[in-house]
Order: sequence, then C-alpha cells, then structure tokens
Amino acid sequence: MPIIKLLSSDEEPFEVDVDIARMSITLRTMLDDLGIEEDDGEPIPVQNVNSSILRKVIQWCTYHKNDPPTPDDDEQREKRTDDIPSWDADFLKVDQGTLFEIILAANYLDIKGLLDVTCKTVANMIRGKTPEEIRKTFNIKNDFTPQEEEQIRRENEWCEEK
Amino acid sequence: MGSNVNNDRPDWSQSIHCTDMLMHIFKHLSLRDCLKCRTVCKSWHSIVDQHFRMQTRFEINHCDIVEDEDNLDTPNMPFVYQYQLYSIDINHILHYRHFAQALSMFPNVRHFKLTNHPMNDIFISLVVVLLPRVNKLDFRSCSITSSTLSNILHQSANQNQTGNPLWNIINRFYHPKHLQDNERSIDNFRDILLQITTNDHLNEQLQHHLRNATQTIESKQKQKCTESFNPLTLNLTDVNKISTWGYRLIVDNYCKLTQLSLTNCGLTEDMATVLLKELHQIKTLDVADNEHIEGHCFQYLAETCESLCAGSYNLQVSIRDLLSGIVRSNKAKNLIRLELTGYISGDLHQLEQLPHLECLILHYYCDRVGTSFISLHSIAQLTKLRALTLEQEYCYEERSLLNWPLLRPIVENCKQLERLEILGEYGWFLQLDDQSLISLTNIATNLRHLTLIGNSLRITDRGIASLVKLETLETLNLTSFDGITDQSIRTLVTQLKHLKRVTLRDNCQLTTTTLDACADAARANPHRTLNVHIDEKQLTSSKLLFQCFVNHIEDIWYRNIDPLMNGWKRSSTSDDTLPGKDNEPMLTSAPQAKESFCERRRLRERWPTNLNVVIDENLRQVYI
Repeated sequence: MPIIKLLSSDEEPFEVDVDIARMSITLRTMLDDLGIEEDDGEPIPVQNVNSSILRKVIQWCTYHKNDPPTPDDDEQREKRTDDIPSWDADFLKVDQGTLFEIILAANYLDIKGLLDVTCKTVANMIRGKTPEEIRKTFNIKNDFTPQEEEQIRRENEWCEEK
Repeated sequence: MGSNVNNDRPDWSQSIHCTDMLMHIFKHLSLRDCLKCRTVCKSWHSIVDQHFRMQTRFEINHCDIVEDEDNLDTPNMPFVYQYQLYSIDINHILHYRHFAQALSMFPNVRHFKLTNHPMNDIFISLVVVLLPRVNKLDFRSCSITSSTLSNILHQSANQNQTGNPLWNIINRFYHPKHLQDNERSIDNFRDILLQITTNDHLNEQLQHHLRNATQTIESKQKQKCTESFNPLTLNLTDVNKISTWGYRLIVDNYCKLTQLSLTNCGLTEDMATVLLKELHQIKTLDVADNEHIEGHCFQYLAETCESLCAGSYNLQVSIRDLLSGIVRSNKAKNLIRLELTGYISGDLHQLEQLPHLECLILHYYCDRVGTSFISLHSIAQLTKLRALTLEQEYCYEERSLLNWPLLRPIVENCKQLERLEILGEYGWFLQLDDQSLISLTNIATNLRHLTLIGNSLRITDRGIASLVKLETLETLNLTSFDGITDQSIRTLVTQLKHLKRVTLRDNCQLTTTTLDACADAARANPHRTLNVHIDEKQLTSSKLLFQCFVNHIEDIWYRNIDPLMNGWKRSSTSDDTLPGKDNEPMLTSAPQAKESFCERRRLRERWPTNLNVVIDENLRQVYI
C-alpha cells in the first residue's frame, strides 16, 4: 500500500495510506492535480487542521475505509439522525471544542461521511430543546433585547402548534 | 468545556457560531427546530435565515387533526425528514400575516406546495410577491375558485420571463379582461400592507411593488395585452369549483402548455373538448378520475401528445370508448405512454393504431369471467412496448381475467418488454401456474421489473424459483402468494445479481429466513444496495426476526410488541464483555432498554449497511 506524508498545521508529520488520504475530496483533488502517486518525500501540508484533530480524522477514515460509497444526496431521500453507528458514537464522545474542530476539519477536507455523522451528533443535542436549553448546552449568551426577542417570537408565530 | 482548552489552542467556545458548521448542522434539523435555533442568539438567527435562503423547496400541509390520540409525535419517535425539502404540518388556518412570515423566510424557493388549505387571491398574491423565483406551484385540495385560478394563471405564466415579481403584478393588473377583478385585488394588497407590521423590510418591499404596480396600470391601462406566455406545467388535483369559464382561461393563457394534469376536477366532456381543441403543444395530459369524460373529446388531442392518462371508475366509461375517441382523428398516433381506466369487453383493436406505444397501463374491470368475450391480442401487436401494467379492479375473491393463453402472445411478440405488472386485489385468484411462470422466463428474457399479485395456490416455489433465469431483473414484487416459501426467495435474492428492490407482502409462509437470505445476499456483494419491503405479519410472527430488528426500532415498538420483547430479553446473553454499556442514548423510556442495549448494538453491527428494510406496520412505515 503506497504511503504519503501529511503535515498538520502545527507541523507534525503523519504517514497515511494513499487510499485513506483519498477519502478526503480535498486531498484527492490535490493528489490528482499534483500527480502524486506515493511518497516522494515532500509532505502535504494540511493547513487548517492541527495534529490532535488530524489524528482523530485519520483514525475515523482508517476505520471506515471499506465502507461502501455513500450515495449522492437525493432530494427525495429520507434521512434520519438516529442512525449513528455505535463505533462513531463512541469515537465522538469528546468535548464540544474537539467535536467542532472535527466538523471544521471534515468540512475543510471534504469528508462527507465524517461531516454527516458529526453534524448529526450536534443536531441530536439541539433537537427538541427550547432555545434556553440550547443556550445552556452550548454555553451561548442571549444577546437579544427583550424587544428583539418578542419580534422574533412573532416572526416564528406562524408555525406554533395551536 | 473550558477545562479541555489548552493554552496553545484557540478558544473553541466561539466556534459554535461558525457559519459553515452551523449550516451543515441545520441540514439535519426539522423546520420547527431550526426556528427555535433562530431565537438562540443573533449570530444563529442570521445563520438560520441564511440557511433558509438556500432552500429551494418548501411545503405547508394543513391538517385538521387537533388531537394526536396515540401521542406518537413525541421526541422519542425516530426522526425522519426529507433533505432539502422543508415540509411542515400545521393544524390551523394561516392568517395572511403568518403566511407572509412563513414565505418571507424562504425567498429562493422554487417549488412551493400548500395542501388542504383554503386558498384565495390574497394568498396567491403573497406567493407571487414573496417567492419571486417559484416555478412550480402545487395547491392540492385547496378549494380554488375560478377567479383565483385566473390569478394563478396570470401570475405564474409570466414567472419565467423576468423572474421579477413586479412584472407579474403589473401584468396581472392590466390584463384588460380582468380589470374589475384587478381593482379589487389592489384593495386586497392594501389590506395585506396593513396586516404585515412586524417585518419592516417586507413592508417596504410590498409598498414598493404596489406603488410601481399602480403607476404602471395607469399608464398602460389601454394597451393591449400581447404577451406570449411560456409553456408551463399546470397540475391541479381534487379541484372541483372550476367552471367552463375557468377552463377557458387556462387555454387563453396557456395555449403553449406542454404538461397539464387535471385529476378528479369534475371535468365534463365539454370542458375537456374546450381544453383539447386549444392545447396545440400538449405533451403530457392527465385527466384521470373525471367521471364525465367518456372519450369523445380525445379526438381533438394534439399530435404532439406523447402521454395520456384518462378514464375513471364510472360504470359508463369503457376502455373501448376511450380508445375509439383517441384514434378517431388519427392525430394521437404519436402516443408513447397510455394509461386508461374503465370497463373492458371485446377486443381492443384500436390499440393497433398506436404503433409507438412503449408504456401501456390498463386499470380494468369486467363482468364475471366467462360471461363475455375478451381479447388482449391487440396488445401483442405493440412491438415497441417496454412496460405493461394490467390491473384488474373490483375482483375480490374472483378469478383473474388474465390467464396464460391471453398473456403468452403478448410476451412472445413484445420482445422489448422490460416491465410487467399484473395486479389485482389481494383476495383475487391469479390464473397463472408454475408452468406459465417457467414459460414466461423462457420468453420474456429482457424483463427488469416484475410485479405479481397472486393468491394462486398453483404457483409454488418451483415457479418462483424459475425466475432466476431473468438475469436482468432489478425489481421484484410478489404479493399474496400463499404457496411460496423462504426457499425460492433465497434462490432469487442470492442468484439475481442485479436485484435492487424486493417487495414481499402478505406471503403467509415467509419467515425470518427470507430476511437472513437478504442479509446474506447484501453481504456477498457490498457494492449493491438491496432494498427490501415486507409487512408486519412476518415480523410479529417471528421472534427471531424481531431480534434482528429491535435494535433499529425506537420505543414505538416497545409499546406494540411488549410481550414479545420481554420474552426475548430474558433469553438474552450476558453482555459484560461489550463496551459502552452505560452509555445508552435516547432509548430510555422502556424500562429494560439498558439491559438489551448491548445485544442490540451487537446485532446492529452485524447488519449489512447496504441492506435497507421497510416494514409496513398498518399504515405507518418504519425504516431500518
């Protein structure tokens, strides 16, 4: 299996199977554009991802490398958020900061499966909660004035259950 | 989370406001949850709005159900939603102001659907003003009147020309025919302005439109309307308040219409004639379920027409009469797809004048078999036929009209047949046997989709297993076969390499082994996705099968199949060795859920990811 080198933002080198690196559309495009087949000594910089997060991402990709390709998003297809595989659920038992960083890394590296599963995890934390509970969960400050809050409440009025 | 933040890392507490990330997360939330997120803080508010602006489809379904007896709508229900389609159910009639609020959140919507909600001109005007890019409107069961219809026509007909809402209003106002109507509508607009007070931006926008519209009306009032309208699609279902005048409006405004669907709209022969005489460019026409259309109007069908759907269950309508109307003027010879409903008798020789037909769908009923002469020989003359559906109606506990001598010439001559569906009621008796199926597989070698509804004890495993010869088969639906067992289904799912969709309903001898066979087939070829559709009967009658599934099903099942659940749990093995025992997510409402969680998890991991199963549990569907 050919190996390539990746360099995290804090300049830690990682050796990865080409097939695993290619699960990232960003890296795949880069490899194809540069015509890199295997290790030619020059590590590929992954600018926006630090070493601890890159390690997690590689760990996820390694576990999922044999997954069948995910079908393209079909507008009609029904999706759900309660289908997170148990390995992923365990893998994502991290603090919120790390979770967000993984999402941003998955977004930057364009790894659809990882992005989906991490975003579903956060979506599950939001679903069914009141705005105040959501603020509490994510430690967000309510920066609306009471007038603004009333205004938004009226904007949302149309879909309230009566 | 602060304790986890290292000094050499940035403070990630701010990243919860990162636009990219939140946009991805909102994709997984329902509309109501997104609206709650809107009230969390300023940055979330603007990101939700941004997310809504990216949506292209939006629908509001009005349902009158006030009380939810089963209380199924609890947060514990498995959450299923449609991606990129924001759909919401409301149980109250929307006030104009609320309707405007809802629409203004989705300014880029292209497909808008409103169902079962009273509709009038004001709603239409709001749609046009607030959804400037909409190009597909669907107002199902919305009690539309003729004058409201004329509004829809005028306003949406111009949609594609400029994409500018202003233009639509102007055009609508100065159309000389409806000047009186239009003056009323200006007043309506003033009303709306008074009612929308919470959104300043919206208010401004509307005033702007109104000002311009009024000015243009004054300057152009006498100018003649000469616009040529773009061809468009119009679909109306269950609309029965439209008069002949309303249909006159359709053809006046929509003479270039290429697709028209008017199902169950109370069309009469006269109305249909008015329509068909003027629609010179129609390609797809659907006028099914209009009881008063017997067929004469179809002689005016344009030569461009490629697809026609007609007929109803009115006892006066016969498929022969419909066909006679269609072929009378010899203009309909380009039909490619034909779907007819009605009484059947004699032969259907008129079909021979439609040589280009590729898809034929007949929903027929007849006198008791044997009392009248019926021939399907003409279908066999359609050599280009690729899809054939024969559905017999009103046939409960009757023998099927169709038998092998009638079917054989069709499959022999129609060499290109890819889809064959023979349908009846679940309680009918299909007059085919093992030998007919074996012959079928020898003749119709190109079949890719096959549907059979049975209740024929003469079809057994032998006949079903012979279907393996149909190597190209992709879709298979076998319903109500009392005589087939897991064995033949296993043969089919494991040997038919292209099979993608299997539907098995009301087959009393099938057990969990069938599902195991599907799982084996899915594992054998991980690159093929296999979709299986079964019904509840098999599920509840099999404890083993239940074990396979329980891990995927939330507690709605716990309530329904409780005794079974307990029986199973007592027999479950020790799960000390499995990780994650204490981290049971969500499934907390069933008291013993925790114990069984690990067992379920183990089953879940055994389940092949490329196998999707849908179980029909009465009317509700559970996805696995």
